[in-house]
Parts: sequence; C-alpha cells; structure tokens
Amino acid sequence: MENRGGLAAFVLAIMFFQTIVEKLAIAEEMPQRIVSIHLCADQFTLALANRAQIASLSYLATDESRSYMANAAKGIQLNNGTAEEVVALRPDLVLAGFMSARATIESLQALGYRVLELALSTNFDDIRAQIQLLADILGNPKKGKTLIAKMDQQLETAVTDIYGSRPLAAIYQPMGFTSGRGSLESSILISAGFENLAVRLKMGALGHLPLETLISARPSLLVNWMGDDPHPSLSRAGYAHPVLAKGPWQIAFIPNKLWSCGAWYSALAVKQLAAIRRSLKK
Amino acid sequence: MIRKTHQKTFTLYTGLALLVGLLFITSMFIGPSTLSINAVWAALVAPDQSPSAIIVNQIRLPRTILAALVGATLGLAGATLQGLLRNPLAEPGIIGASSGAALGASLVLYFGLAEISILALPIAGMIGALIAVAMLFLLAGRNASPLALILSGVAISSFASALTALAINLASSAYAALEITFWLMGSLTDRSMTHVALAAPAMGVGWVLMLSGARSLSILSLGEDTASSLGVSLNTLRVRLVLGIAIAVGAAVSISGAIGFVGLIVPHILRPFVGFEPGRLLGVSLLGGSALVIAADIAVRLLSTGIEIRLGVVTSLIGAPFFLFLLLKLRRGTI
Repeated sequence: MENRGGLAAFVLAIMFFQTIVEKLAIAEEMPQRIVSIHLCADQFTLALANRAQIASLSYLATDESRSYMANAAKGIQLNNGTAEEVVALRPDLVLAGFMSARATIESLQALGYRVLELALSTNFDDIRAQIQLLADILGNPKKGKTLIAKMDQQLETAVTDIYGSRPLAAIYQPMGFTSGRGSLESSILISAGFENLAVRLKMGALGHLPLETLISARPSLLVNWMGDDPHPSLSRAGYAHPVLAKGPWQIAFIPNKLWSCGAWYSALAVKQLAAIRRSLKK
Repeated sequence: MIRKTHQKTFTLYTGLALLVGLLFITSMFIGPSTLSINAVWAALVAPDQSPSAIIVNQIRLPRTILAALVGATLGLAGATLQGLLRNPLAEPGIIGASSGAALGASLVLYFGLAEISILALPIAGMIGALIAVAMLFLLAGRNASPLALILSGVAISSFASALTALAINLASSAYAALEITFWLMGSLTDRSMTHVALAAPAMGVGWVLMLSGARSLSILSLGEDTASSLGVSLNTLRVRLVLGIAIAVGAAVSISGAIGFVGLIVPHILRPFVGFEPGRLLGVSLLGGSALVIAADIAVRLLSTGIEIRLGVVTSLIGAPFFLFLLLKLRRGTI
C-alpha cells in the first residue's frame, strides 16, 4: 500500500517535472521577433502572440477592408514582404502563407531563417488545426484553445435550427465567379445551413455560374463577399446585368474581410448568413 | 459583264446574310439550360417573366446581338484597314487599335471613372483606338511596306499592353485587377441590352463612316496618283476612315474586350469572291465578321464546362496560326 502510494507520488512528480521541462522548452523556443509577410498570418499573429513578440506585419494588416484585425495592427511596423526587409528586421520566425512569393520564401530559407508557411484553410477542421498549431509555435497554446472555443460556440449557435431541407444558395461574385467543393466559401455557406448551388452542379473550388444557370436553378440567396470593397471595379460601376436585381433571390453582401482567410472569424460570416437564412424562412 | 458581277455580288450578300441569320437563330438555342424550340419561340413572341423568357430575351438575345455587331465591326474594320493601307496583314488587333481601346477602357476601370458615367468605358475605348491608329500612321507612314506596318503595329500594341499591365499591376483592388485581366481576354457572357444600347449607336456611326469610303477605296487601289486625278481626296478619306475605325472598334472593344484576328481572317477569305476589289470587300466583310463571331461565341458555349473559355481566346487560337500562314504566303509572294 505504502509502496503504491510512493509509486504514485513518484509518477506524479515525474509528470510534474515533465510539464515544467516542456513549459521551459516552449518558453525557450517562444519566438521573440515574429515577422509576418502574409495577411492571414498577420491576423493570427495579432490574435495568438503577445504584442511584444511581433516585430512586423504585412502592409495589408492595417487595411480596414481586408483585415479583420486592422485596429489591433495599428502602431506595428509594416513590411512589403521582400526578403531584404525581412532580413533587416532580424526575425527569429517568419510567417508566410499561400500565394506568398516562392522566391522570397526560398531565399529566406537559404539564409537560414525559420519560415512557416500557412496553408489555406478551406473548412473549420483545418481552421481549428491551424489555430492550435500556430498557438503552440508562438508559445501561447492557451490562447489557441480559447480562440477555438469561441469560434465553436459561434458556429453552434448558427446551426441550432438546421433540420430537414436546406435553402439553396450560391456564392455569386461579379462576372459570375462562384465557389464549389473544397473552398472556404462553400464551407461557410454550408455551415450556415444552406445548400451550395455550385456543389450541386459538381463545381470545384473556383467555378463560373452563367446567369442562365442561375435563372433556371432559382436559388433563394446570392452571396457576394466583394460588395463592400471600396476600391474601383466594374462590378461597382453598374455594369451588372439588370436581371440580377430582378431575380427571385435575395442578395447578401458579407464583408470581404471575413472571407479572405480561413480563420476564427469565418464563424462570424457563418453567423451573419445563418441570420439571413432565418429571415428567408419567414 | 457588269450585270454578271452584280448578280454574283447579290448572291454573295444573300448567302452571307442567310448564314448570319441561321447562326443568329442557332445561338438563341445554345446555353447551359436546354430550351425547346417552342419555349424559345414563345419567349420571343410573348415575353413574360418566366425563367425561359428571361433567359431568351435578356441573356441570349443581347449576347447574340452583340456578337453580330462586334463581329461586323471587326470584319469591316479589317477590310477597311487593309484597303486603306493596301496591306493584307492590317487588322485592328495587329495594328494596335484593339490594344489602344483596351488600354483606354482599363484606365477607366482602374481609376473608377466608370462609376461616374456608364458612357466612360466606350468613350475611353474610342479615344484609345484613335490614338493607336493615329500613331500607326505617324510611325509607318502612308506607303509603308507590310513589314514596317506590322512592326509599327507590334510597337504600338506592346506599348499599350505594357501600360495596361501597369494598370493591373497598380490596381488597388485585387478584384479590379482580375476584372481587367479577364476582360482583356474578350467575352460576351452575360451582357445585357444596356450594353447593346451603349455600343450599338457608336458602332453604327463608325460603319457609316467606313462604308461611305468604299468607292474611294476601290479607286485608291489603282494608285494614289490615279485616285487623286479621279477626284479622291486622300486626306479626307484617311481621316474619315480612321475616325470610323476608331469609333466602331473602340465601342466594340469596350463592351466585349479584345477579340482578335476577326478582321484578318474574314477579309482574306472573302477577297477572291469580290474580284480583289477593296471597296466591294467592305460590305461582305461586315456580314462575314458577324457570322464568324456568332459562330465562335456558339463554340465557346458548347466547349465551356465549369470555367468559361473566353471568346477572345478562341478567336486568337484560330487567328494566330492563320496570321502565320498569311505571313508565309506573303514571303512566297503569293498574295
């Protein structure tokens, strides 16, 4: 009996010791000069790292129309994502992402910098995994868990009333671009309780929806996530086809910044769309 | 003899007009949704708010009308340029008129001028085309060799494309950049009657200006001195035709984007049928261009599944090898 107790105490002591060692290891590895050259990495860094750890963020980080964390990014040095700038910032961790210039990443790696490339998350499982991975690497695993919990809670409230058939909706960007299977947009739409027209038509991540198809399929909602882009473009200039405004559908404009990255705030896009779905049913 | 020529011309016009009509009707049946003959007919004669009526009247009809008008413009402009420059390789795309129009239009997109007035796009297209053609005349001169002409065209095109690329490069919205890029590929997908109303009048004015020069063009083929002695004022003719080309091509390109090589292929195919007379080539090239672009736009719809193949991409895929073939023929001295 005594022996057993002793053993248990021993095991507990080892476990305790191990956690301390792990904690120390993490603290030691905790990057102190993080440089991000990617819009999505900027926002994750702001949410998961301590401010003192951040050396620089990409020039898009403070753009209100593209970055959900634009406010938090104010006051932090910005960069244009060239290797030269990054080297001058003496980073101990460089965060890049999908569509970052390959040449920049390769030259930074060749110079011996630790570069982490974020993949594009196209569904909420990816997003959870990415948040936790980054939180661990940035040395704040707890912040990651909190963020995931917050996201999951928002997702849950959005889908409490999904039962039976889902209303048909389509992502419809100016010029008829749409998003089907394997895209973040589709995951957001489906998580909000809709059926995605592009998926029904077996389209991949990027597809094209001719107006004709839209008129025959008669979705009850068209989702545009570019509508609030303040920069000039044809779509804003009234070149859209008049039929679009007269269809049997409602058109929803969801802020662009909620879609540009697969992140915890993607759940906010789900929430907004779910609210629209409820108003449709009435 | 004259009577026979007239008869042949009449047959040619009738044949081409029938072809355009046939293709026009066919085009009304082509699209992602299958509509029966009855449905299309019902939609045309008694339009209501049913999906099939909307599809036929507001999507397929404007698209087909624009294909016909843009094709006619490009065919006619090609024949006019070839007559005026007395060069079988002249074409709005090759001499830089289309790139000039495209530049004008992309600057409008880039600076957001289209939001001020919907007319900004066609007007900028016309100004761009006009500057490009004027520059061609300055660079190549009147009696330029085919090679000098094409080199000047390449220079103008490249410069206009470089400036367009700069606009894409500096575009403040990724979406605007994407829009310009895709628009440059040329397409008539999902155009509306608004676009028809926007571009048709200008194209009409351009056609009248070009067609009114038909007789003078035929006389010009006898040589500039002969033409002058027969009372053709070369400068007036040049100004009239260049204005006509710029106005029509500028308006067309601003709605459809760049659709290349139509003005090269059509006059070349039709030239033997009109006895190699430049003036008589104009009217038939107008109809021929119309037929070619409607046919290409039908092909685009039949070929596209998922992501749309752009009309300009299709005409260039056919046109570029054709251009090479013409160049080889030219080197052998067979045209």
